[in-house]
Amino acid sequence: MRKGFRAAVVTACVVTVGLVAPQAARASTPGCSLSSHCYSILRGSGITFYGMYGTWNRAAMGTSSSASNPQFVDSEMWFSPNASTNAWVETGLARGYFSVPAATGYYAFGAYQTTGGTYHEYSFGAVSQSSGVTDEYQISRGGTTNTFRIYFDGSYKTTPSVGFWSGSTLDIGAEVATSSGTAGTFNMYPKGLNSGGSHVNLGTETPMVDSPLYGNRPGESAWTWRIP
Amino acid sequence: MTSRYRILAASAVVATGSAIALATHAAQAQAPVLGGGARSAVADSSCRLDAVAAAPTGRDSRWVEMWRSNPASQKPAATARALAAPGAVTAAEAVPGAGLKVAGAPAAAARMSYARAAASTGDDVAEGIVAPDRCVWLVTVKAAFTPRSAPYGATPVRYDSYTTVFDVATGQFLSITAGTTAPDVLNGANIAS
Repeated sequence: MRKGFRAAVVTACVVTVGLVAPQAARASTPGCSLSSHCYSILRGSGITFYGMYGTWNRAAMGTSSSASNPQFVDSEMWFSPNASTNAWVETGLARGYFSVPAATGYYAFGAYQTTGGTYHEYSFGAVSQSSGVTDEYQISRGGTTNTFRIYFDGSYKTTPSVGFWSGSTLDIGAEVATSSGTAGTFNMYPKGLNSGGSHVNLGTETPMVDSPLYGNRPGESAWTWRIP
Repeated sequence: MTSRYRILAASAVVATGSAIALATHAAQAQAPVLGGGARSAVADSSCRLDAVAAAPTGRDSRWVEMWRSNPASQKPAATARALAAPGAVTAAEAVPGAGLKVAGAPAAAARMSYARAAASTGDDVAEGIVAPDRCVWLVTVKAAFTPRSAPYGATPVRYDSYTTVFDVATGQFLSITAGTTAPDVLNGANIAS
């Protein structure tokens, strides 16, 4: 069970001020686990998008993931047809449990769930964590209907048909599945893609932040998250 | 010697890690019985443990750095210990996470080229950083699986089986697939020729 309901209540308050106040410094993420993920995201909606683009730095992330207690922290973005359809394409960085509990590396990954219910997640490859490096991600239409290209730093992999070719729900930020997660500051700059492939702002922008994560919208189409 | 035991013997040789540089595996028969009395319906195909992806040319420097640091993209170290079939199944069984013990569940592994595995899982081998002829394990486990990551508010889907891909030479995880179009090593469904 994810924290959607509780966070929605939080969001109602957050939207009015556009800012989530930082909490007292803590090195852990109580209440977040593999069965109860926590999120710190900015959601764009209200417009039909044909893909999305984002850049963010390789800030540090940490977990105490092990084979007996798998955990992870992700910094990523999701492209969905809408908030109620259980299908999406996602890409980003993962630390900790990356489908194999013992894996503790820092990986770039892509994943999708089709409208037909097939789920696929893959590793782009291992990358070196460095806060001074900023990567570019993009999810955009492939050459065949309902396929997408998932880009990492200018190169891409193409999905098979995922059952949709546009979306009105763009999310970017953190997914945390550990009670002992750590993370530096991720400065994320997302854009939607319009029918011409141009970068556009995210439409209606709604922060959604689960305690104890930190999230802040410093300006239009920008998101900052960290673990306090 | 039956095909089952021939494969087990081959895996044992691979596991020593002493012959990685020389190992080019010709087509082999069925993978061994690996869990729950299951047997793979998939025959192995030729591949190389030490196949190295072509060096990226004209690519972004960050991509090149990833290619250099990615274990499955590079030639294994001389001391590398390749992943044997039982180890691949054990790694695959660990995927569902805490509280979902799957030991004894039907499971099987087939060694094949990354190109064949990618064609089976829907991956795009042409744009990957793993050599198409690199040996990988395709492992199917008949056990409950819930995807690791999902967008905010999504309803988690619980699958009754899943298939993983691991690099044989390094054990690196490469992908996981679940659902009706996922390849199934146990019955041969959705596996590219």
